[in-house]
Amino acid sequence: MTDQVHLTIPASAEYAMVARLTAAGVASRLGLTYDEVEDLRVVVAEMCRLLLGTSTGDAANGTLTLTYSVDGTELAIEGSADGERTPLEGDEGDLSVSLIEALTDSYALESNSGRPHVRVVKRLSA
Amino acid sequence: MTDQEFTEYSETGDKAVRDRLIEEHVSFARRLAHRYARRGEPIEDLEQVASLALVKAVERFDPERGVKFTTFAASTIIGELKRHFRDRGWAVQVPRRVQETYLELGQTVGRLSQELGRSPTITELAETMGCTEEDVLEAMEVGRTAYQGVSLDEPVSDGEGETRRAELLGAVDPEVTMAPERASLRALLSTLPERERKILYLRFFEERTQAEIAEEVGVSQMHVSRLIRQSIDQLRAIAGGGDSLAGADQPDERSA
Repeated sequence: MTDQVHLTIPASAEYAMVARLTAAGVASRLGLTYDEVEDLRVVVAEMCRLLLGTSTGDAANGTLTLTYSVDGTELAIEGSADGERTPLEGDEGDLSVSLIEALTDSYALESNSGRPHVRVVKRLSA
Repeated sequence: MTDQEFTEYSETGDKAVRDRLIEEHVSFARRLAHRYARRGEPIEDLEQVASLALVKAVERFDPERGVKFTTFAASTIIGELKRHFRDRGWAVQVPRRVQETYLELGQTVGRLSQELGRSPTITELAETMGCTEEDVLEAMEVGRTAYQGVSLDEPVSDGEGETRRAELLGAVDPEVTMAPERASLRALLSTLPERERKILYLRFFEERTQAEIAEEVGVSQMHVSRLIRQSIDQLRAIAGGGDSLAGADQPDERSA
């Protein structure tokens, strides 16, 4: 069985805190350690950073949607931005990706018709 | 090209190549350190830790393993930053830190409520306490578990190993039994001048010595002692001669 938490926040950096706190809440429910919870907060912060990227057109007032899915073996966090956005690029984008890759077990960024979509997976130790 | 340089370095061990690789990535390490900066540690220290970790990462990186260098380096640097925080007592102190923030939170809420005439916002609390809004929310969560009725036999981590929650509890919280007194005291305190209020606050809520208070307020210790005595007398008089404050403090008791 998969438990899911859906979160939709305004596409602005100030609301990333809500996404981080939600991650921390979900992670602590899973009995993850302090370090792991901290890691996930960093991961979600970087996901938001990536997704916010640079908006084109009227996406400036858009939203970010995050889905936290838990089954017995893994915690998956998916994030996407509505409207057309270019994910964060350059050195800062690379840093975000490096952090996410270093702290999760899998990471994928794709673009669905101009809308960035990030998926990360953290495997749960038995 | 970086990949070739890594292959070259792993094959030849050429120090010049190594140094070039380090230089190419040092800003990456620094920027990563900045991501971990909001923890009360000097940023220069974190940059230093991150840069040393980068050296380690460059020396240990195996280009054959199919992992990108930046991912490998990020992992190494994060590990070293965490170790640094742990060595500085962060990780072990975390449960206590949250606990402390929770205690400080209670006092700050009371004080700010009085100052503002309304309940303070999370932002105001964070600013006053010098921490982040998330820290405040986290501390509120600590408080929340207290009235959600968790089992006393529930195993909890005390930082060393597991124990039962009941083991971590103290006696009846004097803060609670004193609450009615505090409520009436708060009303009484508002009748005192600002300076006297501050002195009483420092003396009885922060439990500072008279000498410390004297220094902070900028008057002599004798004067502090006198002001405390006068203030208490005044409060007692307004309270109608009630003796709930009697013996609460012998003004000179802790002045030494």
